[in-house]
Parts: sequence; C-alpha cells; structure tokens
Amino acid sequence: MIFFLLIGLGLGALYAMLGSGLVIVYRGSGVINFAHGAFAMYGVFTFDEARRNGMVRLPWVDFLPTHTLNIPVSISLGDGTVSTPVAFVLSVLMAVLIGLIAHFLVFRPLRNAPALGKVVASVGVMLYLQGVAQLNFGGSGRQPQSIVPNKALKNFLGLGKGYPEGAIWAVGIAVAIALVLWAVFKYTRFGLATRAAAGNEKGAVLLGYSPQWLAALNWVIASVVATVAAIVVGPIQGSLTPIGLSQLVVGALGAALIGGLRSIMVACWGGLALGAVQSLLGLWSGKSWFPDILRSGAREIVPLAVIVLVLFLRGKSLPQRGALEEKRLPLSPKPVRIPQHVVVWSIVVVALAFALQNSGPRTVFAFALSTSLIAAILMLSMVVVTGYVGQISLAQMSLAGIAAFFMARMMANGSTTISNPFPVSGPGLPWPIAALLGVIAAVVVGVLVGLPAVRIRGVQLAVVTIAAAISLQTLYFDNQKATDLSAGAPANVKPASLFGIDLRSLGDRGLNDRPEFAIFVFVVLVLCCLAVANLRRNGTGRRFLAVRANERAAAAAGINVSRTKLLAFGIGAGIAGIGGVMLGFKQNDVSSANFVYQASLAYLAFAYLGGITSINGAIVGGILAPAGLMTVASNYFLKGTNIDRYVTVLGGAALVFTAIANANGIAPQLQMELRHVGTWLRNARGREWASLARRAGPTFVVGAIVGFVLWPLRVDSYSKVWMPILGGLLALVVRGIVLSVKHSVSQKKKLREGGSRLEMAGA
Amino acid sequence: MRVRNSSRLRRAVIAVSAFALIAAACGSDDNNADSTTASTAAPGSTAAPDTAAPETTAAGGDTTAAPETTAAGGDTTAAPDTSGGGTAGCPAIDSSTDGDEGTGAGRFVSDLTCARDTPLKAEGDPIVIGFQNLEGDPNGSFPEFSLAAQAAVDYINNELGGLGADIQNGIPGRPIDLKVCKSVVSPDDSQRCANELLTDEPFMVFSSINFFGNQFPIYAAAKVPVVVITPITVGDFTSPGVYSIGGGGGCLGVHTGLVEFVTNDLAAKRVAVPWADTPPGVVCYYDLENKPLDVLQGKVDSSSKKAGSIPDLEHIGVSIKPATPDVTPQVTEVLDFKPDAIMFSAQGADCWNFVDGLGRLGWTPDSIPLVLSGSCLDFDAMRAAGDLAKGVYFVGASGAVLNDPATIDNPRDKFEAEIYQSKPSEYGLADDQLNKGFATQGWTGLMSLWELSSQIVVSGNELTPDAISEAYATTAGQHLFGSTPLSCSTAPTPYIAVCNAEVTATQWNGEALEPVREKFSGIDLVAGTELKPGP
Repeated sequence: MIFFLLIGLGLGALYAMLGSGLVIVYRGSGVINFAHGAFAMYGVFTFDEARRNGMVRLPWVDFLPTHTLNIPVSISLGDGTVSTPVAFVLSVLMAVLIGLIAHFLVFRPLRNAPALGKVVASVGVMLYLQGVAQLNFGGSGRQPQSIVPNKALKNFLGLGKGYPEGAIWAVGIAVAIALVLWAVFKYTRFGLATRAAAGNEKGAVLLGYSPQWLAALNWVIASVVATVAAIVVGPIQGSLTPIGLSQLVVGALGAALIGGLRSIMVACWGGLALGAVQSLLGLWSGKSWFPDILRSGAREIVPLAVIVLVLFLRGKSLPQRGALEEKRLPLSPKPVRIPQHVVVWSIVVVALAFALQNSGPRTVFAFALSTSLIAAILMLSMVVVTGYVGQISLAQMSLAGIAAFFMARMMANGSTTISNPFPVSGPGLPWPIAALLGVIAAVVVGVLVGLPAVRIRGVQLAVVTIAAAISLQTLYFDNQKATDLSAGAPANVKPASLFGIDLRSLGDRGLNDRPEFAIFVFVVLVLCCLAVANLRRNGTGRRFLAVRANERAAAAAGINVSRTKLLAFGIGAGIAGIGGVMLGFKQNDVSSANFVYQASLAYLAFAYLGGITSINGAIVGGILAPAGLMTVASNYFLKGTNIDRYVTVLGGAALVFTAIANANGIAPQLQMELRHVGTWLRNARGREWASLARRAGPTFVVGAIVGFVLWPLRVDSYSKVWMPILGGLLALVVRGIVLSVKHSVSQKKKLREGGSRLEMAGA
Repeated sequence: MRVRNSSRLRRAVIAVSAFALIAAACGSDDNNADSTTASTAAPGSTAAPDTAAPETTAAGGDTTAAPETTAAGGDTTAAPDTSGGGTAGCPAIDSSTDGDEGTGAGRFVSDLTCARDTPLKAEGDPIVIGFQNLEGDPNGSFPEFSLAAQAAVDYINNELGGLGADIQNGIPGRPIDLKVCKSVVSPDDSQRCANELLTDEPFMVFSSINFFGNQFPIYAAAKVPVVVITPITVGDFTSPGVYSIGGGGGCLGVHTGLVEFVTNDLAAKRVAVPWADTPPGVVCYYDLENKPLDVLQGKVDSSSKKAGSIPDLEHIGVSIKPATPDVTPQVTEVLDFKPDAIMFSAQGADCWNFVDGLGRLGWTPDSIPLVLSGSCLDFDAMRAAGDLAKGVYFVGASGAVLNDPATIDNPRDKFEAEIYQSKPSEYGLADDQLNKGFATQGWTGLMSLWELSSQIVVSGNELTPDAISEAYATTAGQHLFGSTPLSCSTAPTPYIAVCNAEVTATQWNGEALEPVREKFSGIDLVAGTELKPGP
C-alpha cells in the first residue's frame, strides 16, 4: 500500500505544478484558467518538436489558401534536431509568449467582465490552442522523452519493487518550484503587490502598482511553470496529444482548491496527495472487496470528490478577487410579440420540414434542422440557469443524459436491438410515461447538482458542476451496474407515436428526414420557449434577475435566494431533460459520449455565442451547434474549401472574440440587423439600390477580380466560381472595417477639437 | 454622435465576428471529390486536382517482383476464373496458392502484375463509395485512413481498371468516386455524416474507426452495405449488414490470437494481460482474453481441443483506461505478477505509453516477452521507443504489408508488401502516413472492394450494391490484400459482423517487422463457450 502511494507521486507532481500555476493566475487576475493544461501542452510540444525536428511552431496557423502569400508559422533551426537545453529555452520562451498573448489579448480586455465571460474566454483559448496544436504537431500521440535521469531504482526503500527515478526528480522539482514561488510571493515587492492587488485592486492602484502588469507577469509565470512541469515529468504525463494535458486540469483544480486558491505550498502538497491517493485507489479498485459500482473510474472520482468537498465546506471562505469594477451579465430582454413569432416560425419550420424531405443532396438539412431544434431546447436550460440567475452550470448535458438514459431504461423490456445484442432489463413502459420519468429524474439530480450553488457562485460553481458532470458519467452513464448496458452498447430509445402519427426520426430511406419528427421537436421547443418566456415575465423571473444582479440586495428585498437558485436549477434541469429525451428520440441510440462535460462546455459556449440571456440566443445557439444547420450549410455551400481544418481554431478564436467584444451574443445584433435590413428592403426603391451599387459595387468587383487572379495560386480547392465571390465578400468586409475605423478616428478628432475649443473658450 | 459612432464600429465588429463564426461553424466535413483528390497530391504539388496516373515505367516495377506465376494446377478453391488465358496477355494465374492464401489470390497477383505492365484506366460513370472517417478533431483524428483509401482509389482508377474491371481481358470497369465525410468525435456528427453520405447515394460505405456505432441503423434502413475497416465497438462486431474486415476482425481475432501466440509460441505459463478499460474493451477482455485463458486452464468448459491443456496456467488482468497519464501503478501490478509474457491490445499511443511505463521500471523485451496487437503498429513510435520496442511481437492481420519484403518468404505476401510500399507513395501518400497500421487498413479496404467487384463482373453478374453486399456476406476464405482471408459467412454468434479472425505474428527488429508466424487463429479457444461480457 505504501509503495502504491509513493508510485502516484509522479503524477501528483504534475498536479502540484499545474495547481500552483492555477493559484498564481487566480491571484494575479481572478481567472480560473481552464486553458492551463493547454498552455502546458503547447509548451511541451514546442520542446519535443525542437528536439526531434529542429522546428519551432508558432501558436497560430496559416489559413491563407495560397502558396505565394503565407503567414509564417514555423521557424526552422537548421537541419535535424537541437540540443535539450536549447529546446528547453525555446519552450520557455514560447510559454512566455503564450502567457503574454493570453493576458494582453484575452484576459486584460476581460478584466471587468463577469465570471461567465472569463470562463467562456478560457474555454476559447483552450480550444484555440488545441486546434493549433492539432494542425502544427498532428493529432496522433507522441511519447515524450525524459530530460531527467529515469532509470529504475531497484528495491526502492527496501519495499522490494522498482521505482522510476524520474518520479523522484519530478517531485523534487515540484516542491522546489513551489518553494521558490512561495518565497517570491512572500518576500518580494512583486509578490506583495500581487497579493495586495488580489485582495484589493483599488488599494494596489492607489499604492502606485499597475494591477494589469502584475497580472501579465503572473500569467507569464504560470505559463512557464506549466511548461516546465510538463517537460520535467516527461513520460509520466502519458502520450502527448492536443487534448491530453487539458484533461489533467481537473486534477490540478483539485490541488489548487486544496490550497484555497491562495496557498501555493498547500496546493503543491495537495497535488502530491491527490496523485498518491489516485494510485492507491487504482490498486484497490481491482480488489474483490471494492464496491462494484465504484470500480470503474474510482481513480477519476478522487479529484472531483476533493473539489466538491473543498468548495462545499470552504466555499464562502475562498477568496473572491477584488476588481475595480465588475460588469454584469448582459441585459435579459423581456420577450415581446410572442404569438407573432410563434406563427411565423411555425410556418417556416413546417414548410422547411416538408420541403427538405427526400430533396436530394439538400435532405441533409432535414437532419440539421432537428439537430438545431433539439440543441435550442438544451440551450434554453442554460438561458434559465446562467442567463437568468447567473449560475454557471457545466452539467446541463449530463442532466439531459440522465433523462435520456433513464427513459431508455424505463422503455427497455429485456429485448435486444440492432445496436445492442445484450438484453437490457426494464419495465417496458410506454414512451410518454418513460419520458416523463426521465425528465423527473433529471429534475431531481439537477436540484442536487444545484445544492452547492447555495454556498458558492461564479467560476467556483462552474468547477463543481464539472465535477458533478464527470461523476455522473463515471457513476451512471458508463456504469454497467446502473444502466444494464454491456460492452458500451448504447441505450436504445424506442420511437414515439401520438394519435396514430408515427414520430420516429428515421425515414424509410435511412435518412433522418421525416417532417413529422421535425414538427414534433418544434412543438416541444415552442412549448419550452413559451414556458421560459412566461417565466421571464412573471414574478419568478423577476426574482431570478434580482438574484443574478445582487444576491445580498435580493435577500434584503425578501427573496429567498437559496430557494430561487434551486428552483432555477430544477427548471433548467427539467428543460435539459426534455432536450435529452428529444435527443434520444432523434438518435434512437444514445451513448455516454453525448453527455460528457466537454459537450456541456461546447453547448454553453454556443449558447453564449448566440446570447445566453435571451430565448432568441438559445435558438441562434442551436443553429450554430455541432452538426446543426450552420455546420451542414457550410459543408453544403463551401464544399472543397478545406476550411474544416480550421474549425477548432476559428471556433476558439470566435469564442474569445465574442466574450471580449460582444458579450450580448449574436441574437440581439442579428435581430437589430435583420430589422434594419427589413426596413431598408421595404423602403428601397431604384435610387437606393443604385446608391448601394455605387458605394459597394466597385469594392466587390475589385475583390472579385483579385479572387479570380489569385485562384491559380491557392493550395486548397476553392472553385473558380467561389474565389471571386469570396474575394468580393471579403473586400466588402474589409471596406466596412476601414470605413468604421476612419469614421471612429474622425469622430475622435472632432471630439478633441471640440474639447480644445471648449478649453480655449474657458480660458 | 458618439453613440452613432460606436454603433457603426459595433456593426463592423459584428460583421467580422459573424464572418469568423460562419467560418468557425463551418462543419467538419469535406466530401468534395476535388478536395479528396487534391489531398492526395504529392506534397508541395500545385498541379490541377486531377491525379494523373504515374509514369508506368516508374511505377515501382523494378522493385516489385511478381511471384513466380507458373500455371501449375493444384488445389483450387472455386476461383472465379483460373484460366489465365484472357486476351490481355496477363501472366498465367497460379491458383495453387488459393487454398492457403485465400480464394482468388492467384488471379489477384496475376491481375496486379498485368496492370503494372499495362495499366488499365477505368471508364464510364463513376461509382460513388462513401467513406466515414474521424478527422480534424483534437479528440481523435486519423487522416491516414482516408488518405490511404484515396491513394488506393487513384491506383484502382488509373491502373487497375476501376470497379468491376476484367484485367485478364483488358476490359475496364467504372471509376470510383470516393466521398469522404469527416466526422468529429461526437454521436451527433457520426449520424450527420451518415445522412450526408446517403444523399450521395453510395453503392456502399466504408466506416473507419467510430466510437459510437450509431451510424449503422441509418445505413441499414437505407440498405447500404457497410464495411468496417477498424472494428472497435460492440456494434462493429454484432450489427447485421455490416462487414468488419480490418485488423483481424478486431478483438475477436486479435485477442484470441494473442492468447494463442503467448501460450503456444511463447509457452508462457504466467500471463499478464493489461487491457484497455473502455466499454467495448471490457467485453473484449473478459470474453476473448480472460475466458480463453480460463479455457486453457480448464476452468471454463469449451469444445476446443486445447481446453484444459495448460492446467498450471496463471493469468492476471490489469485495466488501463485510454490516455491514462501515468501508468506506473498498473505496470507495477503487471511486473509484480512476475509473468512469463505480457500481452496488450490498445490503440496506438496507449501501447507506447505502456511500453514506456514498463521501461521506467527496468523491463526490457528480452526479460519478459511483450506481445502487442496490430493496432499498436506505428513505425515512428517504435523507432522512438528504441531498444524498448526491439523484439516486441505484434499480432494482427493487415500489418504484414509493412514487413520488410526482404524478410518475407511467402511470394504472395512479399508481392503485396512491395505493392503497398510503392504504390500509395506514387499516389501521394506520405511516408509518415504509409507506415501506420490504420493506413494499411484504409488501403486494404478499398483493395478488397476492387477484388470482389471484379469477381462479381467476371462471374457474369451486374455490379450493384446488393451484389457487393452479397459478395462480402458469402466470403469464405476469400483472399484479402495484405491480410488474412475474409470469411464473413462463417462469423460466429454473436460476432456476426466479424469477417476476419485469422492473424499473423511479426517481430520488430529495430528497423522493420519480421514475420514470426503466418496465419493462425485462436478463435477455437472460445468455441462452444457462453458469452462473457463482463466480470
């Protein structure tokens, strides 16, 4: 047993170092950096690439489709490889660069943003770095090499077993780094200033410190520590993949929380302890006495249990970083003209559902339509929990999964299916009862998941809901004892029917193009939208917004904050459950992969892009969702562009951009633009059209010509037709930006001149 | 004024944002034929997308020596045409090898040799073949499958006369139009790909690695046959209308083959079995590793002749989750058992992470033999592992084409290894992709389709999706390029989709793979036993 505790210290050292970095960033800028593992990943990939191939790959990609005009993405360091010290220095420099970019381009602009914006931005950074790493280093794993002595120590401490020397080095370096950081933060002016700014940013400013430069330095230190950690532990981290280290951030979060998000030394010891306990549980889980229900994933639950325990017990004592000013979530507009919207959209969706059935290559839009409608239901649950009450839940997809899996089990009757040759026991209930029970199960679990929200909020709640999501996956979705699903077979959901109307999603030709199913989903979505709209307009909704705005003020106004939060979690879970049920009907077979916490993260991100505080935002988010209308439309219209290579990179960048520049999301802007265009179209006559052609026509034509001329130079397969169109559209976008900047500059100049005149007049 | 100004700026920003979002949301698919063709162009090439046939004089003819093709008779197993007397003047068909190498092996060698000297270009309307692949997702991306498949398509279209060609008589078939649908690791996207491919009305669909198996009901409803080239989920093994031809039939062939090799060839009495703790991995371990070892030990009744033949056999199972960061605890457990041999079946990087973990505790391949599944093959990783990989055994089906031809005695295997190590490169498959196990499976899948299609047409039948499905379904010892023969018709219940349960064993010598044992199977070890899906 002692040996297995010791053997886990290698991984514990990695947790310790990553956890220390999380503490530094939190103290420096108030961000819990979900991208911390991705920082380490890019750094260690840089080190490995330099050592193996003598190349430095910069953290961006060349997306220009030409041979002649290229964005530099790599630096060759001569033939072959470079020495380990040089590679180490290069990777540290890369870490510095990434830390600075993260601070100045992402988190500095977000310094006053609400916690949700920071969470979304850090997820965006993580996706961006993963996407760039995928393109620059490839997706298949590489085995990292050790830079510290890594022989086997025979009969270690007289325990009769071999022990990897590298693990001792890793522990030593982790402790040394923690000690150095502890000393720096305790005894240097920089450290004291950082601690002062963490406690009271205004005070730090008054003392003459720049909190933003302090934050920048902290980002750099954290990034460098993460890179050094990944290089030092070498093969202990497993294969190098774009996502590998990102997943270890959960363990690192556990370590950071043990340290109360303020003590680097305690975080270090906590990380080491986590690794040791995980190792021991790995051994015990193979023993016959170990509870079957916990056998699978026992190791994974340890950090989660620590996170939940620490946050629940110490939630209120954890430091909330002071800020000069904290912006609130965007306004949540009161839904208006609901009947008109319902009528218009009903006509559109029903017409589309029938038009797309059996429509040749366009039939795939029928699948996308139902996917987007279901995604919109799921995102509505986020509108309630996050948009209305301000609670960040990353477990909404897990709650959807509870409903889907529970419904499937309630429908099961011991028979087998095409996709599952092993019979699943169950009461064989009809679909309405099974679905209802599934939704009720989701509500019960949702309220349980929401319990910690009574004591904690913001980004800490996000962490605890991640823990809940992973626990639900391990303990329920992937647990044969709970689901009766052998060998990872999916949970089968039998098709629904109502008043003799067959509501299955799969048509006779194998395509998911049955209009009856799309209309079924649409009706459910409309009912959910009406319920949420009604909620927003009545007293409950006002209480939700009051809690979101200021919990203390809400409590002072007589609102039961705990009850309100739990009610929101319950309603959100119910809607997520309905979404899960509909997903089950669409896919027929649902698996745990549908409901992993990364899916919740992705859906939250798309909901945020759409506009998380409004119903319209959920609908736009649904359109943007993976495999939804936007995905299929881009595949359909941009065939052969190879743009799919950049999906993750662009998706991550767009998330960051939205968090910084357009926290309201797309929906409000889209609404405004559509209204503007609609008004223009209604009023436009020949003269207006001619004026538009005069203003935009030449730019479009020039862009189109450039696109046509560039066509032979491209390296992908934009067609001869698409290049001019693309060139024209890009030219219009560039024109718009140039005009806006010019306009902005001239306005500033006028304001300055106005100010000068006022001063002169005053003088 | 200021409000108006910021409003305009905001609009501009929104416009840029919208553009970025559109670009970002642009899905993960590119099923355009142009792009797939372009993607196979030689690196750095700026040539038009059409992939021209390489100069036949430089088509590796110097290095690709055909096996001796004497017209000696012998034991023919219902080969479709063994005359060799076509009008194209091809080398005579040596059907004597069909018994050992699979039905049609002799004709296959003759056809490819003939096409090497006189390439036959496909003619007529293209036949659409779908290819669903995981690609472009940081969570799992295997472009080597589709790149190798596209190289095979280009080879087939430009030299082998296309689908349904009769090379012996110089009659071309129709070209293949490969529609690749790239999917991310998501159940929704898997079904999206199935829907997109079906709108192209494909003859059939190849599915590479897929973690969900939820695409099968869609293809089944559309009556489109599916060939799985890397079976991993339970659906890959048990779905009707699905033919799993790759990798020795997944765990059915490979895991039982590992047991057979370790206990028979290595004569191990203490066997350590680390196993991939994934949902399908659980059934693969308990039913196809743990159970056959128990059969040999005599703990489980079986109709196998070997049942109870090693009563003093001891074994231990140690679960390892995929992408586990530090496997030292698991490795300690394995080594504590003091095994005579270790066998491990996992996906690519996990294999080498495990080997690295063994090395950190002082293990060497000389001290305890290690046998890995063919899915672990990755020459780059093996070279990087250095001495830790030297001497490691591999059990699989399609990795034989990666063997150094100079070390191969069997003429047919040698010929196919030479073809594989020359032709894909000519059609743009980069070397770092060529030497991956998944690339061999992508190539082999398309070659199997070509071979069966030719047999259908030569037999006087029309080439239709039903005919292709029937051809796969009725295979019994059918020759398969670079692999062990296909036998979909003899798949045991419940593994009704598994077509290929024979495997070969090879050993890495530090530079290349060397054959150790030709075609064998351990499937009889589980004959007559009850399914054991879990502990």
